[in-house]
Amino acid sequence: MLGNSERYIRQIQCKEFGLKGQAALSMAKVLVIGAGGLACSLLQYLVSMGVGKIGIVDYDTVSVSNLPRQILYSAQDIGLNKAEVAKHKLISLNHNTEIESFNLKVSNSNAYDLISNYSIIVDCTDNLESKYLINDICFLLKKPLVYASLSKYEGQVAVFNKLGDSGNISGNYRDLFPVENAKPILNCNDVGVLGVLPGIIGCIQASEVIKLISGVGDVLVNKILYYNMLKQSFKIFNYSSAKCASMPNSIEEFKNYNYSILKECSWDDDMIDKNILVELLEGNDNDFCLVDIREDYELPKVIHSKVLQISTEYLSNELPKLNVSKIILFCQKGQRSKIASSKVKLFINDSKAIYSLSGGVYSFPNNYLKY
Amino acid sequence: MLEILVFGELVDFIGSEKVNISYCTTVEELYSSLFKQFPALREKTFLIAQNNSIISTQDLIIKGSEIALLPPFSGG
Repeated sequence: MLGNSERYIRQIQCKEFGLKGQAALSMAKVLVIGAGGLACSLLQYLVSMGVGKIGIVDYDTVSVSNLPRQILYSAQDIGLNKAEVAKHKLISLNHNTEIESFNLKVSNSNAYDLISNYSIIVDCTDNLESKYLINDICFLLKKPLVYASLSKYEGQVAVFNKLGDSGNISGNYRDLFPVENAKPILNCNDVGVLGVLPGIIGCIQASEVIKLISGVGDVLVNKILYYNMLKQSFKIFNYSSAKCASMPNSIEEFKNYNYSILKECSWDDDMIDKNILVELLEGNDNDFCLVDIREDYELPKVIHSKVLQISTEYLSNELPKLNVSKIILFCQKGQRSKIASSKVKLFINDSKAIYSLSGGVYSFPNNYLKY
Repeated sequence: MLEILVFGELVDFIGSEKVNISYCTTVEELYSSLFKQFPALREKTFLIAQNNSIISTQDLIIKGSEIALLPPFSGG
């Protein structure tokens, strides 16, 4: 590390950080889960600043709509695994950092082995299922977790499971959002994100990682930061930790825990796909109704005589009044409608079959969509 | 009156980043008042913060407090 003093001289000059901070960085092992927008900015700083070892986990491939915000990737990378492309790009930034890539989805069965080998975990994932799963295994293994998440023009950052001087461990994601209260409806809403936002939040997340490793400054322990890009406002909220009843208490419980309650979408008999939808739209069967459960402002709209718009809170009242035997609920991506369909079945007799449209509004052929 | 700051996608349901509602003494009353005025919030998960600290349903609302509605985010 001393041989690299010139490279790191400007950060070593920060006296609170100094050679000690730089040495700590060179010894640190950081696992970054998710290699999307947050990770693209975070990783570049962690590597350039001299973190010793970095693991990158992502099973997804680069797509064209990633490019405005996932700035490690270019058009030539489309279709390639994100973790592998990121590793390849980052190696050229700093040969002193050892980089491992993992082309896999973090799950109950691999999380223990993945996380055990690293000292700090960074959550850059884009779904609640992974966020709860990573939170729980980090809590069980007492690994500090640097969390961030995005919504349209806003971002959140927090540091979980930091060991205090008296041996106490700080709060975690379930202290904020216990799963009992979680309504996965949020996950489906395709609200979009403006390209620069993940860069800003990823940098804040990177600064928390660097501070955790070096011990410089105060990290967001038992606090959650909300940032709004449109207003350039930062608000920090304090919270206290309280044991969440539904959290797994052991590695064995974790491995058997059902995280799919928060899954984006899973196929089953109560769902219909776009092929069946097209058959219905273009066939002679009139005994069905398509129910858009999204809010008024959500686009694109579907233009078809069989489409009704009913908000989720009115479904149990309105659906029994529909004089058809097949009701297909749809939302933006298919998750809200899946949850709504299972809920309304409790109120509706067996003469009506309730389905959820897999893939949401985008399963409709383009000629039915109006933006 | 209580001044309420609104975050994340809740802004789309409430229609503004700031809203004033009549004073409520408890968090439970605040939830009821919000659900009455904005029924779509019943289907949403969100925390309530008072003067920058997240509070629970047993807590009381202090007059003049700044209240914030904080939803989870899931993008990355």
